[in-house]
Amino acid sequence: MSAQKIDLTKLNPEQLTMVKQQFDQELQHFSQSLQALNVARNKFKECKEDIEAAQKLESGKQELLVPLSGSLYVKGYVKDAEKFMVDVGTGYYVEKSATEALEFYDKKISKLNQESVQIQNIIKEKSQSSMAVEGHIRQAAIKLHEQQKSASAQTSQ
Amino acid sequence: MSAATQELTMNYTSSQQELEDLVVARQKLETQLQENKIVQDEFDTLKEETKVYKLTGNVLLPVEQFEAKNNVEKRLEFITTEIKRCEENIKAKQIVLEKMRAEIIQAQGAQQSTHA
Repeated sequence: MSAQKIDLTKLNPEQLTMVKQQFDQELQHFSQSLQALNVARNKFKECKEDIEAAQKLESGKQELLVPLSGSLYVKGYVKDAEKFMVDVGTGYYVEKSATEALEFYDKKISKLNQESVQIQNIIKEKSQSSMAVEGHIRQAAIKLHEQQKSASAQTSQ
Repeated sequence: MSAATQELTMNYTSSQQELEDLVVARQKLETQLQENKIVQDEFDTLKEETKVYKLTGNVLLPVEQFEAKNNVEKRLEFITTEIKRCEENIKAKQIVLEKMRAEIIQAQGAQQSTHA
């Protein structure tokens, strides 16, 4: 994301800590995105399972309860287990056959899988960078410590 | 700190907040853009006889396919112009902030030299 290159050995400890903080923040952001992706993927998987379950039922015979409100239901029958309304986003629904609907969700899931791999790679990269910066912070601290030691040794002589 | 510099820094922080709000708005627009693009892609693959419904309140109302397509296209247009406008605002805000930062540094420098 950040295109500019910074020589970590030239930064002072405060700047290094700031760089590390930034990396950690980005890491957190990407981990959250990854989680959201997984939630979405599970939802699509559930939809697929639901279609497969509904397909096994015999049309016109399977009884079910239709929610009228959150706590009120009426009895109904599955009239056609071959047609599904698929939410395609922004409030639009499209009528699809079972196979078309399954294809639709498969496409969605494979897209999410791709994106999840991408994000995982980014997370790996970022955590490596964060670790590298941490190493530099430690080195800088050791250097500072030694400098102080030699300085105090000189003044005591 | 003198009253003038205090006012400068206060203006600076409020402008910074405004910039942040603009960035959030830009992100929201991007989400909408992506969602509408996904819907458009889906509409492009539809067969001619496929039925399309729109969720209005709690009811699915049937709509004509071309109507739905036009609607999404119009929304995409609207969102892209909004994004452009928002980005222009962000750029302008950034320039203003840059100027204010220079002014603050100048004011602080002037104050330090009078103290010394």
